Amino acid sequence: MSFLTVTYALTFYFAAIVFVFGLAYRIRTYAKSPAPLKIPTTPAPTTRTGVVVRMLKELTVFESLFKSNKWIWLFGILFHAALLLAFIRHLRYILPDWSLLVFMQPFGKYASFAMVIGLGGLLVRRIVVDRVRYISAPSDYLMLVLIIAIAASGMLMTFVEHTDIVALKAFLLGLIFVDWNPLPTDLILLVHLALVALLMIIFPFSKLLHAPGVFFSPTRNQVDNPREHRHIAAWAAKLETSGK
Amino acid sequence: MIRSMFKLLPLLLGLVFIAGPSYAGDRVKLPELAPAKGDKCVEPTDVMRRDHMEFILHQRDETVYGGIRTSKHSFAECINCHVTPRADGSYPRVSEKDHFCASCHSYASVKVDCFSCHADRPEKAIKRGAHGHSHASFKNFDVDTAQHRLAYKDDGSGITAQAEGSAQ
Repeated sequence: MSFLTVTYALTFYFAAIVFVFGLAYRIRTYAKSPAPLKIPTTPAPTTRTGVVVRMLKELTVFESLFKSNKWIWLFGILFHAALLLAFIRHLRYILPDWSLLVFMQPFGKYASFAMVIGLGGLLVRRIVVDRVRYISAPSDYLMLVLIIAIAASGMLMTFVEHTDIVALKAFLLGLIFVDWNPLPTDLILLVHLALVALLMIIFPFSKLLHAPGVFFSPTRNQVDNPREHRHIAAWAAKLETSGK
Repeated sequence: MIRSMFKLLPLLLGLVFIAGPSYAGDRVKLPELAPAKGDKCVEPTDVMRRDHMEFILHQRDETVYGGIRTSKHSFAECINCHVTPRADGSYPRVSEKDHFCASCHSYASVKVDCFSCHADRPEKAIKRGAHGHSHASFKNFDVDTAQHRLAYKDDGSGITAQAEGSAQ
C-alpha cells in the first residue's frame, strides 16, 4: 500500500470521526439549549402539523429567506439544489449499480455549473455589497472559496482530465469495509479529496451547522399556541413543583 | 465531551490498523472482467483501463470526420477480442453484467452509449440473415449495422461509401 493511499485513508478516517462526533456533539448542545420563551415568528401555524409543514417549506424552498431577500434566495437555492444533485451523483462511488442512480448521473454533472454560479453570486455579494462586506468574517469567505474549489476540482475531473473512477470506487469502498485499495494518483483528485476532508473537519466548527441548526430554531419550530397552552421550560417547571 | 472523543481516537485508529491487513483482499468487490481472446491489448492494460474512451472517441473522429479508418483502435476489434462466449456458447449482451464492458460500467454506474448503434457481440457471433430482411426491425439494429458497415475511402474527390456486407 503506497504512502499516499495510507495518508489519504487515515485522513478520511480522522475527518469522518471529527465530522460524526463533532456533529453529534453540536446537535446534542442544540437539543439541550433552553428555549424559555414562546417566540414563533408570526404569522405562525397553530398546530403541530402546521409546524411540520412550515419546517418542510423552510427546508425545501427556503421560505423565510425568500421573504427576506430575493437575491440571496436565488443564489442560495441554486447552490443547495445543485449540491443535492451532485450528492446523488456521488452515491455511485459507494452504492451498487442501480438504474435510478445511472439515470441521475448527468443531472449531477450539469448541476455543477449551477453550483458554481450560486456560490459565485454569494461571494460577489459579500465583496460588492458594502454593508455585507463590513460584517463578513474570514470564515464567511473561507466556506464559499472552499466549496467553490471543491466544485471546480470536481468539474475539472468531469469535463477536462478524468481520473480512474473504478479504482476510486475501490478505494472508497475499501475505506468503508476496512479493506484498503490503492488510490489513483491524479493531482486533481488528490486536491478534490483533500478539500473534502478539510470541509468535513471544519464542518462542526463552522456556519455550515445551519444544516442541523435549522431544526432547532425556536422561531420556526414552535407552535403558536401561547394562550391555549402555557409555555414552560423544563427547568422552570421543576422550580415550580419544588415550590421555590 | 469533545475531550472524551479525542481519547477514543487512538483506539479507533488502532482498530483500523489491526483490522485493515487481516481482512485485506476479500471484503471489497472489484469488477470481474471476462477473459479476452488475444494475449495482449493494443495498449498497455493500465492505460486502457483509464483511457479506453479517449482512444475510441479519437478513432471515431478520425473515421467519421477524417475518413481514416484504421484497425488498431477499431471498436469492432475491441468487441471481437473482448466479448467471448460463455461456457454454454452464448454471448453476453451489454445489458448483462458478465459482458466485458458492463462489468466495469455497471460497477461505476457509467452509461455506455456505444451500443445504441454498434454491435455488442463479435461480428461472427451475429447470425447473418437469421432475421431475414430485418431492416425495419429496430430491435435487431446491430445485425443491420454489422451487415451494412460502411467503409469510407478517400479517393481524393471526396468521400465515397460502399457497403461491405452487401458484397457477400
